[in-house]
Amino acid sequence: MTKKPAAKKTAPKKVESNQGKAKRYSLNQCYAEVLENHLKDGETIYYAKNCMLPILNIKILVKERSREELSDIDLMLFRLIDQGIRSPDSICLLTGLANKLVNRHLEDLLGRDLLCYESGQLSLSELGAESLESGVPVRLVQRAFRYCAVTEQLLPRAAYGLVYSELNELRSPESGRFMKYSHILEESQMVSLAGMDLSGIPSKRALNLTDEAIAFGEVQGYTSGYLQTKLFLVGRKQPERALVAFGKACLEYDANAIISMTQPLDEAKLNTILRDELSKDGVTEFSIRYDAFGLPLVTLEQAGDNWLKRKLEGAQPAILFCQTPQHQAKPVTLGRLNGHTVRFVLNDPIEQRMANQLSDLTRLGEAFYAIPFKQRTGKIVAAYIAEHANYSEEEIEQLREWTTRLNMGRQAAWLPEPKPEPKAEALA
Amino acid sequence: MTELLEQKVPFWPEDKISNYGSAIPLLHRPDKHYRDNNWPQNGPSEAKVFSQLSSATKAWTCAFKQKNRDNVNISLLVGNYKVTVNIVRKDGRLRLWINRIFFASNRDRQEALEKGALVSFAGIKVLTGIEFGEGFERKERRYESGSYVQQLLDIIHSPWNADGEEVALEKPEEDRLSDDERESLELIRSFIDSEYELEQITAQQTMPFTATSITARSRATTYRLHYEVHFDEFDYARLLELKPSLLVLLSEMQEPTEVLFEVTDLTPIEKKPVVYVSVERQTASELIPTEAMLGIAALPTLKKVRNAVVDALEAQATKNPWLLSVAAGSYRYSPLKPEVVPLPPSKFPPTPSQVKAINSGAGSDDFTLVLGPPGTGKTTVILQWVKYFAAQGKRVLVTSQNNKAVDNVLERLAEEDDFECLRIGSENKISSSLEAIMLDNKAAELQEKMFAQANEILSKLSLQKSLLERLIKNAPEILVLIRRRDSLRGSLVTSKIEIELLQNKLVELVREISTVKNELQSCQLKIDHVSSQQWPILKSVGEVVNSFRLKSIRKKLGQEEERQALLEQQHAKTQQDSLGLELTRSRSKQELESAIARITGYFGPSESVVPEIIMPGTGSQEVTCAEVEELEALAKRLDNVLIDLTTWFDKLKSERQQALYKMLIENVNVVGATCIGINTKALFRELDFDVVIVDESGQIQLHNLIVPLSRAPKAILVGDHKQLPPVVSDEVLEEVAAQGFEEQEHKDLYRLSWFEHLWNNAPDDRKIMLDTQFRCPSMISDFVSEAFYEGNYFAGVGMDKKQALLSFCPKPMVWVDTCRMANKAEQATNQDGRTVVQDNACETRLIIEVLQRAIQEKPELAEQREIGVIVPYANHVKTIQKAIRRQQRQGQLTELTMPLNELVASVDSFQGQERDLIIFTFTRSNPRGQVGFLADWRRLNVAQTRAKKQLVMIGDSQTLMKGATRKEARDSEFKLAMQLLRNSCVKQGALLDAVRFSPPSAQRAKRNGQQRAGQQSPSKPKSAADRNHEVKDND
Repeated sequence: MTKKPAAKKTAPKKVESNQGKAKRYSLNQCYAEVLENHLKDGETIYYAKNCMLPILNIKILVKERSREELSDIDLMLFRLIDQGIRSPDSICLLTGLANKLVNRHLEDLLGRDLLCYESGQLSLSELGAESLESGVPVRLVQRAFRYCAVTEQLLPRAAYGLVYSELNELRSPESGRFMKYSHILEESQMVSLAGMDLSGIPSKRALNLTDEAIAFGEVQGYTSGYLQTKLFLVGRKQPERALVAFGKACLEYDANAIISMTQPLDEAKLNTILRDELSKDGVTEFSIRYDAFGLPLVTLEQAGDNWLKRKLEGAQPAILFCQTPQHQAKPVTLGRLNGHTVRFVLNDPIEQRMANQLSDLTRLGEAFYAIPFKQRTGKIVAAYIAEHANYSEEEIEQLREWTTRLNMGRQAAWLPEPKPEPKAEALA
Repeated sequence: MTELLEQKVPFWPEDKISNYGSAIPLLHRPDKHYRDNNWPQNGPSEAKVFSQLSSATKAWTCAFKQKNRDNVNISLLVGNYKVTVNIVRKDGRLRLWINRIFFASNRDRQEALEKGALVSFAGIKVLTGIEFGEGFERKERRYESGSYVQQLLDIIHSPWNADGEEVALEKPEEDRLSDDERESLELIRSFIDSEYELEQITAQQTMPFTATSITARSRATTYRLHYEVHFDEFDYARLLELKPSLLVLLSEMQEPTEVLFEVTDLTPIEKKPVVYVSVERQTASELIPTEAMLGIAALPTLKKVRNAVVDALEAQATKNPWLLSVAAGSYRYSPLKPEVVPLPPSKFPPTPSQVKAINSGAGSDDFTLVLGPPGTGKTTVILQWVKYFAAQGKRVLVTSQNNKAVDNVLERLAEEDDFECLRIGSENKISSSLEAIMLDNKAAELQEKMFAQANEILSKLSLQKSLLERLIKNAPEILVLIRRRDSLRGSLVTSKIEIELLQNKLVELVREISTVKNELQSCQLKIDHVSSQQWPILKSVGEVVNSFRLKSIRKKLGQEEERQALLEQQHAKTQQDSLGLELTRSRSKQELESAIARITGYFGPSESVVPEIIMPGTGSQEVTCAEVEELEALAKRLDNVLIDLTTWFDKLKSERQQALYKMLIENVNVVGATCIGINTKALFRELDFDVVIVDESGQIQLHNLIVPLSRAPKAILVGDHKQLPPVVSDEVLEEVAAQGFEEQEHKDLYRLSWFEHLWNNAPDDRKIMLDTQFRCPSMISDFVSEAFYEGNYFAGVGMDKKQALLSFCPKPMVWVDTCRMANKAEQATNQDGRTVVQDNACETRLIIEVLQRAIQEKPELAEQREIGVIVPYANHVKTIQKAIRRQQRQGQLTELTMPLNELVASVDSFQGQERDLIIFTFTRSNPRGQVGFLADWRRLNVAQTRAKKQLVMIGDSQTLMKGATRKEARDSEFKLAMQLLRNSCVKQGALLDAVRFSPPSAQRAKRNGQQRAGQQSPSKPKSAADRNHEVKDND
């Protein structure tokens, strides 16, 4: 048969990348998280860089208790088979169900591995027996888990919010951009699955396993790829530990293998970069020295608002990272330092005062948000700050002015409102 | 689990690694250094690097083209090194020269991931140009031709060829369906969409109807709502003309609403503008106003159902694996292997062609075509298939285009007890005789059966349970008895052996005693002999000798006598022992029997419901102690089963009946539904079928047939394309052509039934013709055979013996020829250039006359409703009905009690029916010999073969045969058949002059009204022979 006009063609199905669907966790927040919560006493951050972590996306059968009830027919079949009524004919006779219907259900249950044949006779499989016992089907479900191809362990739940690029997605512009400024960790050529041991897992939810999970079954397949994370090298006198942050959770990696891949510090180059960076914000009076950690310590004679409000790690203004007599400096990375960190010291007393006050305010605000919502006595941050800081009117006004000057809208919003002037009548 | 933890998987799966297969040859100059300037001072030497490269088996490779350069470069990331390579063409040969070797950086790794390909190979061989030329290029063609470089570039999927030209990489789209299959699907879609579009246009163009009153009507029903709708006279007349099957309630804005009225009777009350309708859904009363505007509905269901199947076929998601490829003509047939279906002995055994059809239909893996001319026993054959398939636990769908055809088969199947039948469809359209097997009733019946069976099962199990409880209670005693039984049985065996031994000993003793007795006798004889011996000489010596001899003999005699006594003593003792043992044994036997009887008494005769729960002692085996010890476990199991089943049935009993429909209908073996009806409800869409049998498939086109055929892997199409064809619309054909399907084969697929299409194209083993008819007198079938079936249609045994039914008919088939009648002409009007046949008064009168004579002679024909008047034209149908009614008002033909629309009807209405007496009027009579859609000879075939005993045809032979010799004419086949028919009738004296049947008034008319004859001049006939013409009387 031939048809004259061209036949309608069905449009090829669009293959959607999983990249677009992934919820990108802001890696910027990892910095503060590591700085605040994952450093041991005396440790500092030497190196912080985006990281491509080689992982396996393992599709594996997981034996889980189902949340759905067994259907009446299935339950009846289970019960009869459990009592030794094993032939479909007997089941049909006893239940009054049609042969075709019973056979269809049996086939379905066989297909779901809830039944099996034992010496040519139907019998409850291990899953079936468990299903009957728990009153809900125990199913072998297929789930995909993210598994580190470097440390050979299941990744924390937070890792599932990060962007995962399969090999064939690495060439997408989005992955490419990330990769360009990333440290790529080297994978094991043969990845052991020894880390898939449910018995050794203290918290299933922490590793993105359901509470219903009972055991892992067969691996159904896997893909390899890279997870977009953040890498930190931390230590006391030199980089000693490598941390890969997945958000709030961090895992420790072999620092030596990573250090060998980093480019060594070149003081002259670093000085030039720092000078360039500071001059952009009009900072000219400063000195650079290298401390016992080997990291640059930049003392700013006068930083100026432009520098102090510059957004650094976690989009926080630079003033919050600077050292004052009251606060320690927090190391920061600048784009061109290729992952290495630097610290800043304020020398100007006014700026120091400003930094102290704003850091205190910030710490107080974050402490409020660190309290779980239900446990908060008051639900308004300003009230909390008013209660804990006991700011005078003048102090509040001063802070308001500074937060406005330094574009610290978040902190500005936390400030308590000035108390209303008492009315004349009331006074009278 | 342990296996999982021990498992190791490669990070780079095999499918991500391209295999180059051999070593990659890289060329270098021994005098040149390739290491990068930043090479660490303590880094490995070049020789060391080359050595490491030679053992590498995996690398990341990238290709790049340098700016303003034509050639393409390759980089290889191997372990800690990055090797850049130039592709150099010299003397037409391609070579890979090392450019530089670097220590790989994070950036290199980034690049590899960004644009590299992972390749496996058998090492990197670093060679000089000479070594390569002599060792590689000279020996292997791929090196000489340079294809090894292109192969590497192909692996990289570089958009560059070796000469640096960019190439387009296109991956052909995979298509699971062939072009022919896709085109077939499109063609089917085009049929479906065109039909719906035209239906929509008709609906939109029709003025709404004003319903002056809509009120509920009392009628036996299961779920439908029934209404009586009144219209004004004008709208009612329009409705009668349009004959819609579905009306839609219009909103105030005259937009269609969701309320649909199915028209169940357009003329329920004579002379009153009332229509009966029904609503399928439980529509709330506020949605149905008492007055409303109604429009003709273009129901999308049909389109949706069919298109859903087309989509499923496209997705290859139907149960039928062959349908699409057969439709596309690309199916690969494998030979059909007929089954031997066991057929029960019968008074009317199947004919050989029926047996062949049954066996082929049962054995086919895809489809079988069974051509069933009239009266050849299609339903009998279908019944045998259904029985056969049902016995195998298969479910059969019996379907056809219209409800009537489905009913005809189901009525026969429902009589059988071997399987459960269900009839699906609108209760308005299904024969009332099938009410019992309609969904609600069937479900209720199945539910009743289920619970009856449940009660029986539960009571049997309870009985088993109470018996078990009794046994458990008496188990200690039973165990004692069984042990005693077994011990007695053991001792009986032992005693039997002992007795046998004693018996043997007794026999031995008797033998020994006998020997001793003989010995004694012998001694006595010797004594007598010696005593009587005389010594004539030496008498005294002789006496001494005798005395010694006697002494010796007597001594022996004494010894033997002692021995005899001893033996007899032993014998007596043994005998006594034996008797004692037998006595004991006999007592043991009695005790054993008693024990067995007592054991049996405990267990008694009991029936096991299922083999999995067998009561001990039910078989031929004796009850054992082990079984008794297991009684409690068995009772526990039985108790659990009983509890489970009781809970199960209690739950089922508490459910609403409808909730159980899905479960209940699974018990059905045969489902009857129309082609579309089977897919309109979700409940039935999930029902799986093993076989679909399509009856009257000679009337069904492919786009309708796909729906039932998609439901099962196997199909049997029964039909006769030499009877009525499918309903075809010229407008649809035009629309389909407008969509690009304008070739004859496209049109044929719509115009012809798919049965006919397949009959013309399928291999012979798929086609079986039922060739023997048992309905008509042989005179009719002989003509039909010769005219329409190429002589392959035979009269069954006894059909030739059928005599004419009526005295005024000399033969079972007669033609009352009106050619000599004065007023024989048809009455027709001209509407918009079309001839609309209204009546043929002459033939109407003749019909009345024939009816009167027939009923006068055989009143039982009217009583048993065995008369049918078949009329080709709808207006003529009405005038004949009116004429009969007039007669009845005058006290004539009052014996005809059957509804007139069943007595007088069109050919289409009569397909599938049979009557003792059939009167067929041709209607057409005109001087130009125009026969309109009668030219489709298949109508004649149907009309003639409805007669079981007598066929009376009324027609004008002059008109009907005129132009029979014009072979090109559209009606030539019909006219040749009519010529053949006339000759046959003449030959057998069956051509009757209509004048004989004329009532006196008509005869007067003949004398006086010659001039009126032939005055009617019919206008040009229309070409299409479709059903619409028949309905509207247009030619």
